[in-house]
Amino acid sequence: MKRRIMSFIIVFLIILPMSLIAATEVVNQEAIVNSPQDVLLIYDQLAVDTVYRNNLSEVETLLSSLSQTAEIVSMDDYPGGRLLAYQKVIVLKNTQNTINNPALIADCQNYSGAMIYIGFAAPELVPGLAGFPVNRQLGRTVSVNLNGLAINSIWIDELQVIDATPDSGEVTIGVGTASYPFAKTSGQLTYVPTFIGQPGFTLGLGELLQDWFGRINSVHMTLLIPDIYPFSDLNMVIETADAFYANGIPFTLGVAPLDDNIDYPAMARFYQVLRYVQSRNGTILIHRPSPATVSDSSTVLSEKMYTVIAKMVENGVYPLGLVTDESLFFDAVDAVNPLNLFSSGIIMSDTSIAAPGPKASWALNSASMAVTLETVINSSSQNRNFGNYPINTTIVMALPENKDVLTAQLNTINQKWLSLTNYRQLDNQWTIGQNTVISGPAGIWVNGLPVSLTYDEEPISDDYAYQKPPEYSLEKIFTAGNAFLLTVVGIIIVVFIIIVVFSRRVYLNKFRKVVDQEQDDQPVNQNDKKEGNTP
Amino acid sequence: MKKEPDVNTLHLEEPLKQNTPKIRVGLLKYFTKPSTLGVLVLCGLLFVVLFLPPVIGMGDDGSTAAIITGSDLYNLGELTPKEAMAYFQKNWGIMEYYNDSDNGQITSQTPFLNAARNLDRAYTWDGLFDMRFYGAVIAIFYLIAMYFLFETVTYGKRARWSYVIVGLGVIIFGDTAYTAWINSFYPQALSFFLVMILGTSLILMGQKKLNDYLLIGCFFLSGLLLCLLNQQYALLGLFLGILGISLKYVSADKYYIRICVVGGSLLMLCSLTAFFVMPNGLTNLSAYHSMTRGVLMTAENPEQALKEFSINPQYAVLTGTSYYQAIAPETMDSQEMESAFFSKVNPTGVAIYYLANPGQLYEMLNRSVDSSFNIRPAWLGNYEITQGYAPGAQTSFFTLWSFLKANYLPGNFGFIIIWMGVIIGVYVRFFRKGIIEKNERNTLRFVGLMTWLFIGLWELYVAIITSGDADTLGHLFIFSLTFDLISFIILGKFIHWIEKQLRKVDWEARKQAFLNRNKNKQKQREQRGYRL
Repeated sequence: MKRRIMSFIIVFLIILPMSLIAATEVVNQEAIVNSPQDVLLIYDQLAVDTVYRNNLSEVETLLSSLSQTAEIVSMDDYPGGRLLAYQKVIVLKNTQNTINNPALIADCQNYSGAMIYIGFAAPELVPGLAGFPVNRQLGRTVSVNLNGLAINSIWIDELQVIDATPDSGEVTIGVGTASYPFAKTSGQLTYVPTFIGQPGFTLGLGELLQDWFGRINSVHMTLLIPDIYPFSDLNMVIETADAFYANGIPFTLGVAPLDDNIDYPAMARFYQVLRYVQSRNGTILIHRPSPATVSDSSTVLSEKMYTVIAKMVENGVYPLGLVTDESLFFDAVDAVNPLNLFSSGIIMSDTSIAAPGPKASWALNSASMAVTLETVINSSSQNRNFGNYPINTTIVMALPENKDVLTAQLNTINQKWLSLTNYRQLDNQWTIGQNTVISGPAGIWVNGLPVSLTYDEEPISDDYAYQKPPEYSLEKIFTAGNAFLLTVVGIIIVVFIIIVVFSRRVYLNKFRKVVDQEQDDQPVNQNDKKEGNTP
Repeated sequence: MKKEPDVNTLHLEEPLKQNTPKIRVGLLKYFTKPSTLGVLVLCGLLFVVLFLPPVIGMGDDGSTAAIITGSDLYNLGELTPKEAMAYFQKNWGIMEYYNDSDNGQITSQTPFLNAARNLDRAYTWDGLFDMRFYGAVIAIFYLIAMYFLFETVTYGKRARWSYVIVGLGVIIFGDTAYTAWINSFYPQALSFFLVMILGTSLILMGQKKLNDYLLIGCFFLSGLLLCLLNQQYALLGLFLGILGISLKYVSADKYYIRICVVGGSLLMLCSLTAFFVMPNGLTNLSAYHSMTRGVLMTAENPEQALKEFSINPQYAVLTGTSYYQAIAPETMDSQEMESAFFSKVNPTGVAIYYLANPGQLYEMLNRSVDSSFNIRPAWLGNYEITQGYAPGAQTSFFTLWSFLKANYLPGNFGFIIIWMGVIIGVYVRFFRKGIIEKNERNTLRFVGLMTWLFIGLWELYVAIITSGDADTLGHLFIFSLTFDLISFIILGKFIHWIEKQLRKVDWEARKQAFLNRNKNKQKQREQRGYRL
């Protein structure tokens, strides 16, 4: 009996952990279902009218540029338990206001994953923050030192830095001769005391986030000329392309999608210019249609983009990526189809105030963050070569207005010794409608076939029928009827004319005497004679 | 002593008792008069449509921002610009402090807006302006205008037919497509009744229905307000001024002649001043539409047309597009677009272009007439957002006439030409008669109608050259209104004519004849039977 009991207990002990393991598995699955996003971003306020107003959209832009999906929730809207579903959390505190959400405070105490805390410290929320020695300085001009690159002359009203000596290879903030670490990590908690929506700080945070997400890939830098419309200065586009080609600068052209009148000769000329640009080492990218121009229904967007992209491919223009701001990634994936089918893109900074309310994003496979040419000019490099920013970046340069501006911009790029990557040689691919386009170091494949990008000029005929004749139903019957009526009326008119001509004769004949043929020969002469005879 | 007051009171009461029934009968008579009854019905209709929830109004497209700033009002900004167009906004903000902004614009709408704002302040002091107060101010003038209109068609008669005509008038002009404009800051609300008063005062003068001085006052005041409404209306003042001066032949009264001459000259002076002083109010929006929805859309070769304006021919790709659909707002506002496109488009250039291409002008007239028959632009919603209707939803309550007009009237300029021919054909004999008899007053009915016709056609042309067929400034509304006014007057005339013809018929004799006919037949049959 004892043996039986013992064996029962042993079997029970063997089975028990199994059920426990099964139970933990279930928990993990639930956690996966609940946290489809890579990271949870909690912010306190939008801080409109302060220097921190761009912070939320800058962090969102960064996350999109790093191809990370995020769930974004404000501290007031935070639902209890959400935090525990994530392994990575970013807290963005733009104001010194107190936190009124007890569920959030409770969850923060229990949270054990990695956390980046940006902005004003709130030890009541994250007790670990009290351990960082913070030095507060007012009104400073600082520089952000990335690895090898420094972005200078940033004015900050209220600077908070961690009073510690930075490690080598770390992003630092330089104030005069002193330098402080941009961020400090202690255990799972990383603290970024000062962050403003400014390129230097954004790039610094970008480096931090890239390491944090464990994304190790080769960093590249590209060049973008945005907002090219069919009615832009196309001669200048050609000249720019020629100048860049001559200087060996690969560049991309952001084309705005226009789905109206795509058969017009003007559009054909535009595609011709784009083909020329492709032959000059340029890559065509496509802009996201402005949300203001697209009505709320998703079918409009997809129909518009399908037509535009199909027409481009038909004309030998191959858009390889997407130019968009981060707000696109917060629309539902179904709603932005086919834009979500692009594998790569450039994320422009979004100056509009981020919309409040909880939301979740999707991401492109690879993306790069837009920086302005001014940022590049303001960045100083320790080496002769400019090198790269810590994350993928794209320099955005407006289409030059004239040749002088073009020369100036070209000089800037040459003097900085920028090492620009050809966008075409990155791995890009999409399948939209009937077309599949793949590009890589070896070239561009369309539907599995390599395409040549050499430019051959095709004549564009100017005699395009702009005014389409309206289509009528039963048109044939009516034209046949018309022809029939015309013939009938024509015959009648001819008959009428004949009748008129002959009727006059008939009419005149009424007044003629019916005489014999012989007498009829010279009646007039007789009359003349008679007249002549009269005295 | 005590008896005397009693006697006095008795004396006082007696005449009162005698008078009240008379007054009551008079009032009742007055209120059952066709025109008054029609106005009362309209009053009830307006109350239900405009003032009781769900409140009906027009969405705001932002074009009136400068005008309401001039009256210290502002958009609360609760809706996005897109939503503001799709939904009617009832509440607006009143600026509480002294505001030194240059954005404000003073037009003839300002006094009406100020009156409404003060009324609102007298009623509530919450910093909010309820649009319905402005609607109420406009509605009063609208009802006066409708009274004038009904007087012209019924000649003040109480016949059964007059009620039918007034009923038709209520259906046409009480249509929600028209009255919804009353609850909006658009100049249409004002021009709605001003145009009506302008023509009816002339016609009433011709009919000698009301006091000449009252009518000439109405004519000049409404003309003045109309030409000060915005810059596109300003040139109408020249025409109205000349008309006003020539009105002096109507009456031999010395003061009347003076009023005509002074009023007419003042009107011309004001219109010229307004034309040069007032901002032309033509936004990029209307400039864009005047090209893409006008010149380019109807051109045989848009690139050629663009070259005539010395604009880059590549802009041909924008043919037929609307301002909100094709290009991102940032590009639209960009410096490049301004220098390459907008700076080269102006109404004068477009007007000259159309004069050189009459075929295109005719095509545009066709399109504009068609879209004017809709009365309400399709993109402006009627309901408040809180009512839960779809964006841009328009009410279908009491819209029989606008429904018929939009769907069954042939919307092309050929129809308008035939219609004009009929009107002139019917009414020109009054004019001829008046001229032959040297009785200027008799010509006024024709002149009144022609004034409407001229205003309507002028606005049609202005609409085409300023904003293509998109008509963002609401000129087509005036055309549509004058079309209805003239048609209504002609219809009234026609119904009166039929009534007159029917009255001549001796119905009893006809009836007897009809019955006798049957009897005769019977007799014939009987005779036949007898024969058989």
